Amino acid sequence: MSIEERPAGAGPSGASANGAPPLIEVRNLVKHFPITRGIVFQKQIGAVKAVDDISFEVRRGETLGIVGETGCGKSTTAKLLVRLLDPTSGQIVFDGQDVGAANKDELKALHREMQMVFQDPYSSLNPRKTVGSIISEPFAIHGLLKESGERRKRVQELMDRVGLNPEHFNRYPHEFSGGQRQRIGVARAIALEPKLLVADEPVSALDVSIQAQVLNLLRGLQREMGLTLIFIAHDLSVVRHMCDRVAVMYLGKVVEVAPSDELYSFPRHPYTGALLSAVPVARPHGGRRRDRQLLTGDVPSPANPPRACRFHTRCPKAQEVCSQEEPLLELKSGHDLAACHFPLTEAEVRLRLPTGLSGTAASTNAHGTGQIADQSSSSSST
Amino acid sequence: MSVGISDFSLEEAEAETGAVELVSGEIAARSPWELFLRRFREDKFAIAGLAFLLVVILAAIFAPLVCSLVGAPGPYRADQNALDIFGQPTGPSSAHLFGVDQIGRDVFSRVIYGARVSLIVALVSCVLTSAIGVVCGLLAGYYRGWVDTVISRTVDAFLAIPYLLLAIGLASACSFGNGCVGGLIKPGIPVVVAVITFTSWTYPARIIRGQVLSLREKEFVDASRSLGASDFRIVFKELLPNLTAPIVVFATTFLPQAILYESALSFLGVGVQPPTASWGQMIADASNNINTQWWYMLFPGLALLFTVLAFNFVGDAMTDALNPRSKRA
Repeated sequence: MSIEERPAGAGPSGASANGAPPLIEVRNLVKHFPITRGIVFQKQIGAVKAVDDISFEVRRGETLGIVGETGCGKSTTAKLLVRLLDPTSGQIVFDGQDVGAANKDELKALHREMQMVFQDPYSSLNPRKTVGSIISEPFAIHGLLKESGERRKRVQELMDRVGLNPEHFNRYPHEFSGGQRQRIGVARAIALEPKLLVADEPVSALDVSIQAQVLNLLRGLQREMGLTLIFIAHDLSVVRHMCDRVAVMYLGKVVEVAPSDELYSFPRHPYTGALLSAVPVARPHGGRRRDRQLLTGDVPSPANPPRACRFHTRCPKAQEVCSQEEPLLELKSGHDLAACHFPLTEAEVRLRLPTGLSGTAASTNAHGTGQIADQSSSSSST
Repeated sequence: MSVGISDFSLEEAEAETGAVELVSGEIAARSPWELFLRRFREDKFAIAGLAFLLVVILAAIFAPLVCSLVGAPGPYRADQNALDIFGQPTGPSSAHLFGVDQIGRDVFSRVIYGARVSLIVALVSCVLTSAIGVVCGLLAGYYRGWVDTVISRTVDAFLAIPYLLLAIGLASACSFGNGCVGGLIKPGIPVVVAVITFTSWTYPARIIRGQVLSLREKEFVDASRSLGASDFRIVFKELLPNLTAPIVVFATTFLPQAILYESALSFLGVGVQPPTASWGQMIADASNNINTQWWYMLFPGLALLFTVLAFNFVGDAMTDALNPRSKRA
């Protein structure tokens, strides 16, 4: 499958090398959804801590992946970034401008710069509008290309660019397949030539064969338009294919941020280790036996998360201190930031991921090798 | 849907419209409006209904002309000669197509003239009711919070007002002399429309609010917001087009209701005053002697029945035709 191919020239080092300020800086971002009781006189009795004090930055032109289980706050983060939700506290600085503090007009201007591709291609397109009017909506909202002939020409160019037949502009969304609908969503998102594209699980509703096409479309557009991409997913192999760096979230916290090659070969946070060891291996008998690290129990409720390290209730390495003191997101090795008192050691990673560690020490050049190649080499070496 | 149309209907349609737009020399996909017309035309009942409504509307507008063409004496002339020797009304005859009523007025003329009142009341109150209800429902459903609380509680309060009681109250208070509130409220078409609207806008408001509550959670609303769309744009350009089905259904079921409301109100004395004819009033009058003078009930009744049916057919076809997912094309 072409998912395993990584087009060259999008390595993590390339993005981090230039000294330009990051496109987006997220500082101590918090989003709590209040839980209320009562009908007329509502009383807040608690809060779902969907996103709880996260900080990260996205460099210009890079692809940042955000992964995590359902309910860990990935989509909330995405919606906060484009301010579909108002943050409870914290800052999102986009290109020097605070997104959370922007007023109505500033926000409208900001929305020209950042766009979102949605998860569900079935509900993200208005069923009563033609594809043409859906894709030209950005122009209508921002009062661009006032002449309808001009607008239609641009719409057809966009449709052609994302791989749709430009003659279909008068069709309705339901006449298209899931993959085509997602292309319509992408065309709408790139219509204003934004700097940032936030893709919230853009392929999780699609067939596997279609996923690769849409992913390659996104990569191609990124290269052509110099887009910065925030890519949210729960499919780890998709993220590896797409992303320069990956942030792992658990219960509203970012637990690890690392360049994707480092993360996939040498995860430091036990949660990341568990996620990666749950990925099915293509050749279960060909590779070395591995001890899958299975997490027990459920994700705790975000309304009442565990104290200190949120993962300590399910962590195989948890000790006393993990429930007392919250670990900070710190540099553990290479470029790998992890929030853990007892990060995984090489031996532990080897047990969990027989395919990993092949190029840990010098992981900067590791992005040429795919997962399957890694596995065969490690199995032959043992 | 341009797929699956037989060549025959395609050619036929193009010959008929003669205005299929061409883009760069190729056949352009059909615009939503063309699709709507095409689907609507498929429905023979709707076409018949539309034709009938057109006839009724034209007859109402040109009532004097129609009457003189047929040779009917007009709605107000009480012709003693049309009564039989016992002073009873006579049935349909060449002089009076639909017979005459108790005091010798020509029923045909009264049915034609009565269409004016019935149609005006039905259309105006239907438009007002739908407009007020839809806007209130949209706002309540979209903004939720205190806006929703205020609108929904107001709706509840209005639902508690029985419209007949209100009408009886108005009738007893305002049907004498100069009316009440300095002549502002006195029996007539405006009061009928006001009473109907006042007591009915709550129904579309509730329907629309419920629909909007579920629609606003769809991702296309988020998508529109993330493009920078204003609330106004989202409500009226994104949500409203998705509400055509419930609105048209409400409107077409409400139109006949409004005609009947008008008759009830006229019967109570709040509506149009005699000698002005309205279908409702004629039916109400005729109910006293239905046993002997069937024609006085039958003809306004048939007019009402067919008009209501026609509205229903047209509304039904419109809902289908406006739905892009409809299979009929």
